[in-house]
Amino acid sequence: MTELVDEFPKRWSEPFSNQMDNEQVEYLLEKMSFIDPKRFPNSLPLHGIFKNDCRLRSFKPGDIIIREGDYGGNAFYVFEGEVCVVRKPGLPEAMLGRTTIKKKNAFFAFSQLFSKNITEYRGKDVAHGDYLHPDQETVNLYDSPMADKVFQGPNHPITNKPHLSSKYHAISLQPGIWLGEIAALARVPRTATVFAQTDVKVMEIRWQGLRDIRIYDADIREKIDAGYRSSLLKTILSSSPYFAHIQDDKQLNEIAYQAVFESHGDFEWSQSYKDAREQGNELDTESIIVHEGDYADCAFIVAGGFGRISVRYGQGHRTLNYLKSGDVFGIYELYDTWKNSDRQTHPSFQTTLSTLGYLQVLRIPAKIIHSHVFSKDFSYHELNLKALNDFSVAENALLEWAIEKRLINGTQVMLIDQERCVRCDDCVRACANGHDKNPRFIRHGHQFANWMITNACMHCDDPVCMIGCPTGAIHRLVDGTVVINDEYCIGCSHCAHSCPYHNIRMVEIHDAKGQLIMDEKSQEPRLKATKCDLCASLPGGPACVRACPHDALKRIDFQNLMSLS
Amino acid sequence: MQEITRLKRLRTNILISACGLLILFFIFISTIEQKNSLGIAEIWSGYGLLVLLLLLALFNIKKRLSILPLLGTGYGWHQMHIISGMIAIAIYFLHVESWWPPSGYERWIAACFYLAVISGISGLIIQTYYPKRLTEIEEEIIFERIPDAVAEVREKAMHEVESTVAITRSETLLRFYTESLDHYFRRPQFLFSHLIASQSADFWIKKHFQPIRHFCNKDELESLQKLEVLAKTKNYLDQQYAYQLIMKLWLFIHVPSVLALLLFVFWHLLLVNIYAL
Amino acid sequence: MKYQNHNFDQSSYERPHCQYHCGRQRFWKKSCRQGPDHKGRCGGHSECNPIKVGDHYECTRPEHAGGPCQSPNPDGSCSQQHSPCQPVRNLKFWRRHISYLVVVAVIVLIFSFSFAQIAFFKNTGIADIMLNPGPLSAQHATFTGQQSCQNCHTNHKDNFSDWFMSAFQHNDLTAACTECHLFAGDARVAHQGKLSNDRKTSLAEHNNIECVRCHTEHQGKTAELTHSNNQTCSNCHQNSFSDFATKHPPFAKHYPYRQRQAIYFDHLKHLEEYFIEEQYLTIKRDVEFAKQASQSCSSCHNIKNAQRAVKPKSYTQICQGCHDYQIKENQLTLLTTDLELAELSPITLSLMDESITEDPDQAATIFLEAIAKGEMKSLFNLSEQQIQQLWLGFNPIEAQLVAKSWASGESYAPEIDDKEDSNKLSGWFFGEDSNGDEAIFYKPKGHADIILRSWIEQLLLISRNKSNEHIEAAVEQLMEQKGPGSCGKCHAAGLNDKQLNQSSFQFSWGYASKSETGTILYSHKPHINLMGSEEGCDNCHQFNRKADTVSYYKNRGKNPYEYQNPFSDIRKESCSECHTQDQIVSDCTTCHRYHGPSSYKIGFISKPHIGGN
Repeated sequence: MTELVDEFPKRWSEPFSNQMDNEQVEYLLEKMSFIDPKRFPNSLPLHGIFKNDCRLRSFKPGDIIIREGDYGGNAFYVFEGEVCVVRKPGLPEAMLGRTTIKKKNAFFAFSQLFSKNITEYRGKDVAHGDYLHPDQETVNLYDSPMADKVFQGPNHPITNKPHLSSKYHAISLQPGIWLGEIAALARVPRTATVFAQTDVKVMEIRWQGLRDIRIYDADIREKIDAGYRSSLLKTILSSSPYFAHIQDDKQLNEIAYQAVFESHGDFEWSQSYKDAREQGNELDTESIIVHEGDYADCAFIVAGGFGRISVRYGQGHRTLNYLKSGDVFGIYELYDTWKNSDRQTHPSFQTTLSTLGYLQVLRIPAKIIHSHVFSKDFSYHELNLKALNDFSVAENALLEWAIEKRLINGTQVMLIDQERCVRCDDCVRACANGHDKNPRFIRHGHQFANWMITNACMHCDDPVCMIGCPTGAIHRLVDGTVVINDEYCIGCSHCAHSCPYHNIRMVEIHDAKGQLIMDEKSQEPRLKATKCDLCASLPGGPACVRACPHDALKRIDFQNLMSLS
Repeated sequence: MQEITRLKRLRTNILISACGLLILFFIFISTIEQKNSLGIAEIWSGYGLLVLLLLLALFNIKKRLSILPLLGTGYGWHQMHIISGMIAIAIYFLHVESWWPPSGYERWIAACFYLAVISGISGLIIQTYYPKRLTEIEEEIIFERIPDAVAEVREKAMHEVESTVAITRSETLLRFYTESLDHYFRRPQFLFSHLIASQSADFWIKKHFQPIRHFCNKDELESLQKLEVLAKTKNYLDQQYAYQLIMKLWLFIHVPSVLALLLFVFWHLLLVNIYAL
Repeated sequence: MKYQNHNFDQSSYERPHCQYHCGRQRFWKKSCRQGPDHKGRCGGHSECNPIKVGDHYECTRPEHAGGPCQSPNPDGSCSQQHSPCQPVRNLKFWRRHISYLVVVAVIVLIFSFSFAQIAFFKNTGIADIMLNPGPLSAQHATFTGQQSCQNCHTNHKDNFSDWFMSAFQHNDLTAACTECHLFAGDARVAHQGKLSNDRKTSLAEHNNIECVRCHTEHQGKTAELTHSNNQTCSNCHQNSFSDFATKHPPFAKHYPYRQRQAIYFDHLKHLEEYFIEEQYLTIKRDVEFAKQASQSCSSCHNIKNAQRAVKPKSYTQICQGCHDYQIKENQLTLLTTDLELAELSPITLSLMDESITEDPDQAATIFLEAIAKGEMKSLFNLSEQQIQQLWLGFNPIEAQLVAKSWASGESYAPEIDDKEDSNKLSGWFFGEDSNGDEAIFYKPKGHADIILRSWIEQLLLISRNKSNEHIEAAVEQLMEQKGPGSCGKCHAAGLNDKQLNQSSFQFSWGYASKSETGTILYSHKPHINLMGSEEGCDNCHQFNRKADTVSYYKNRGKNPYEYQNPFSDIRKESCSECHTQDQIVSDCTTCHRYHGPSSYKIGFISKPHIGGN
């Protein structure tokens, strides 16, 4: 075994699992002999990837391997046993171990007027659950045997054999397949639930390892790309308003084949963002995908990440707006050309498209757009960028600043107008009232002019906090709200560390008498991750917005900031 | 978005104002009609005022029930509170018909009412003016954290002085701190002058830091500069403290006076029904 | 310098519901990490609970609190200790606290100065601030006393439940007012029954008006209880106006002479004939007075005491000089005889028993026989008292002598014994009267002769209930200028009018001044002072030469309210010459009043004070 040298990836200083000894590595090399180790450089040997980026796992029948809707940075390769994939519409939430959030009613609202105020009391089940505190010596959670149990949820295992029921679209798969690789690489939610039908043995690999294998192994790359095209690309296309009308599979395949998937910027933008902020450095300069004035021969659909749309202004570039997952760039210019095809004009992009952190796009050639998208009845879905240009620099300044700070990630950014806010804390109090007198945000944060972006969860479009949760406690609801399930949270603080905006906090929980609940082994207080949940358990949405008596507090999406509608 | 929210606020205000004026008009007409027919004119204005006062007081309860969407928005209630207050003033004078009652407990009611009104209007002015002033200060700090921040600034200042003294072996800065700065860094100062947007604090800093320069060596000058920065930071904290304190303190007059007023009003209602009606 | 760190591990939630903060904040020091618990106990003075690992102790301070310190103490105690604090409470707590204190203070204040007053300080009057809405007016304060709230507020008691429950019952303050105040009519009815034609409210609303609607007490010692303004009047009167001169409606027809006076005095005749023509200025009359009277109204009318009416002076002052002789000249004859046939006068016949007077001749004979026996009083169907009044001074002995004399066909000549007899000018006479007939007659003493008045009143009393030829003839005689005592000459209306004063059976002998029961508040005095006593009268009182006044005094069938006054109606223009916005501003109560005459009920002063001494 080659010893670790300085050229090896930095991440290998914190291996995915401590359990991967040489024996297990050899086992993997044998089982995955279809991957040629010779293709891998010395600085990134295959056995190194197996040792540092992988681990072996076993599942019993009914165990959930991948849960639909979860964010995960890991992929799986099935060695032994049969697994079952449940396609849309998928299994009910309860079967997947997700607790449905019960809405509280008016009685609760009145009763909390008189209830006692015990700081961070979570009820006896949550407080005294037998969860292990993460080992302080490592941050590796996956060695914890309890993590598996919790991950699978209270209804573990799936015993009602959905694969035998005609109600669900469940398909059995034989060993020798990859699972979850698209979601891991593209950082999109898991598209389907996969559970063990029989005793199953898998290799779990984190996305960095998979990415590196993909780079050096052409077969793997082709397989992954093919899978990408067949699932993710088509999903992106059919969810785009411009392609949604195309029902014919053949057409979609043709378009998918012509489309090019591109990835720009730093996939781990959140970490570099945090580092830059902590050190007070400027964020990295963005890579430009399309310059203003370039020949417009294609359109782009954003598959992931964020892109900036800007125009030249003086010595710099002035931001008009930004793009996020699902948005389209370049349609306007192509349509203009198509409409005035008799004039023989050369289409050129009116704005510059650049990366904000990282950006994954689908580049679609112009002729595809012309033939499949444009028609007499065509209409735009995007904002009129020209009209946005009419705003003064000062009016646009907030958006510009938010983009600089990567705050545009949020879909429910808590924006407080400090000139209207009288610092009464009614918003905090309302939040606390809805959560057993425990507030879920702090009324402080970055400030630009009179606008403050408060430290409240923004329910990001790209929820990097969700990656790496060992138990799946932090998950996303159908409407996009990111919530933490108290029962399953083991207080590892992975999400809190991951959140680039420091919107998740670890709190010490108390018992009914108000005493701290201590971990017996480490004598440290038990922690739980907490954050704004958009009042998911309350009727009527976020209470903070309703509570503000001066209309100072808003939950916004920055894309709508400059909307003219 | 700003335009949309401003239009929404305008719509809310217009709606509430219209309702309020309608109520005022109705009570006014009813009172005049009663007067013109030898009826009890005060009945309409009295009960109308009572209902308005209860509605005004309900604002406090609503704040604790923000999680119920049916009760509407805080902004709507706040505007209703202000407009109801204005209308209550009009109805009060319609009811009482004098500036100051002849004697007895009605004077207590009048006193409480005036106190509530004056404190309410003052609060409205405070809440309009001071947030803008606060926003203009460097950086925002939560009110409850100001003592910690003041302590930190003080610690830094003391540490700066101690470390300089240790290096230079000169007691200039130590004496300067003890004589001039110790009191300043101990707790928020110049509160009143901040409230009236006076520059007294800046002036004080300049007045104290300027003369001592003559007696400082190079190291001490460097340290003095850092101390001045800390003093200015402390000044910003004091401003924050002053503004945020006044934005909380006005309620110390408003809420108790309203409670007293409500009690006196119920007493008045009882007495009127026992002795007059 | 950055004030706040936003990092998740360096700033924790601010909890507005937790009222406690670390006590170090009181001294502007840095608060500890743990903070007080929800019960306000200090969070502890050590920062961790060291655990034993092998043979040494290790710090367990979590990362978010700063991570492990260098080392705990050898005995296992934390090396990062600080003294415990006394947690401070937040501002919201103090605001709530102050609010509670204020609430308690107000409740104590209300209780002490209300219930305590009723229950404990009954007589002192010092502790009723929370009950008393203001001092009483001077009028009520002086007699009700400080503590006698119950004089008006009957539910002011020290029994709490009764007192409280009275809030749900109607409180009749008007009953309390009318315990002492008396009005002519029902106090609750508008104007005590006199209603205006221009009212705008319904009759029902008129019948239940409470005193407090216009009279507000507890407005202070100097408050005018009786004050009211134009608006009060316009509550019911639709003709509300702001300016008398332009907006007040015209005065009613016949104002102020709505009814005929009791005394028939023809002003024009007197002023243009009787006072100045030579034929009337005979020796029998007071010529000097007549001359004076022809020039000035104040000769006859009493200006000094002018109120609503400028009353004429007494008979003796103004009428006697000319009319006294007429009175004395005209006697009341009961019976005349030519010694063969006696004839009773109509007045006698009217008063006698009807069964006797069917045959007047027979009646005369019976009368004379009765006189001879001294029993003529029994012929009259009257009570003993009435008969006594009629026959006052009648000498029955002499009457017998007269009767005997006439029965024997001789005229009667009275014996005059002494000077008194020879100078007797009035009284009962027997024998030859002024017409030369033998008669029984009565000569009045002068004006307002009692006996003559009794005979006349008795006649009129009977005429109200009965009517026959004798009564008619008697009344007719009475009205003549030369009727008995010439009473009918001037007192025509009073005597004539069946409708006058029916309820009290009192006759309008005298001048009846304009009823003070009305709602018009006019006083002559200030007007006379302003305009002068001589020239001023003409401004308002002008003669109506077209008026047929006589017929209303003489003709019994006429409606006295329809009579034509010798003076023209007084019009608004007479008043609005001066009562304008530029000169004398008037509101309703300058000339009108709501209540008629009012007084106090007898015994109200002796009403015991409730709670008084």
